[in-house]
Amino acid sequence: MQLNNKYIDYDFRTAPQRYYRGSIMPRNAVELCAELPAYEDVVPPIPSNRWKEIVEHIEATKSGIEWLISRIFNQAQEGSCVGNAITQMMEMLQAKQFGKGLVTLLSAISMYQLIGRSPSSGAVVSHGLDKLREVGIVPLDTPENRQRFGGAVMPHTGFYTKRPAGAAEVAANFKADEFYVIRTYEGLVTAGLVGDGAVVGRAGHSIKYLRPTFQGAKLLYTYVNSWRESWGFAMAGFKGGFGADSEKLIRQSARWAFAVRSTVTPSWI
Amino acid sequence: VTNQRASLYLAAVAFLLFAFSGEGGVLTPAGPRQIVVLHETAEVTPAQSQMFVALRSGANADYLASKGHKLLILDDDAKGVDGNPAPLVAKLNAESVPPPSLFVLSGERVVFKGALPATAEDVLNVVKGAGG
Repeated sequence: MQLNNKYIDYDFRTAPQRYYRGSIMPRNAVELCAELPAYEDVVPPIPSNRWKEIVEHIEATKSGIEWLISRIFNQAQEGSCVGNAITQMMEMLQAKQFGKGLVTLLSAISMYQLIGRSPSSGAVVSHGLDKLREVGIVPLDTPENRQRFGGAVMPHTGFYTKRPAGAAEVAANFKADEFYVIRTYEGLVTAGLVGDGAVVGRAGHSIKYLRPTFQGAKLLYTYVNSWRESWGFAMAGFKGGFGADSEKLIRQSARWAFAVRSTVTPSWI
Repeated sequence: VTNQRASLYLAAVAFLLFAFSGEGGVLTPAGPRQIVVLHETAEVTPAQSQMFVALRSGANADYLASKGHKLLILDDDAKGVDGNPAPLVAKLNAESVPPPSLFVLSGERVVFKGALPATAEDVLNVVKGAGG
């Protein structure tokens, strides 16, 4: 990892126009998620005096979840960041559960279509979790996926793309199984240390939080963005695509975060 | 007569390789394995999470791929698309090994079952000992 100060505490609101955001923050976040299980009730927060030691071990052994990433996403000129962050998370979960060779690449726009009103409307993180539980994500349009799923595939971008016949049945293979809402800073850090990370929304943008790291004594939380590999610093063999937040922004993100710990197991696995 | 002896000798060697390549001398031919880690996600520790990633990347992943092995890391109550327990997980839960656990299968047959070792290297050693 090559931390670059330009991409630490990056203010998405001041990004060049070619980068699109789209994470909407309703006022009643706590109420929206009130009925969902809390991460902190299931995974006891790790005491802060152990954080650095765990991070050092992760980095010494190259065993952070960034190594589960198959590709850096490009949401292009659509406000589909919530769909992109969730889809990235689902591809990483597949890599963990089934192996990188068995990852089915997924269509971020198929998720965003379910939660956005227009290409630029943006969407609410919690709505994305709802649809991930209820509907799932359609596979990406690739030769490999066409061989397996026929026409039930979709591109990565293109809000007005018509959902193909059979999309619902295929997407059901890519639903969340076990999921939790993260409610605290400590819970969010713990999620990174135990390899869950989280989907978060902050400053009108949604990203996939990976894990904590340290810059000297300062804790940072690394994330993977969906603004192409040309944005951000290098990590896990990718030339770019990554940023990091310090405590103030991590605390903002902790207001809008969830972790999915497992996906459903498709019949072909 | 010489040919007959040679054939018998080769058959005996093949049998011994076949018989003792698996866990505890069980008849298990070396070959591709399905390796399954079952865990309770609520109890996953940072060390286990690091082990899972270590099995998925670098030399460990290369070894598994080179042998044609398939490694699944699943919750012990993982569900299938229909919302019911995933069939493979249900089958392995019936083996009554408390999670976190490790199973090595040759085809449909469980050739190793036991507690999940502490490191990725130890997991691979178990797999190799079970003919993988």
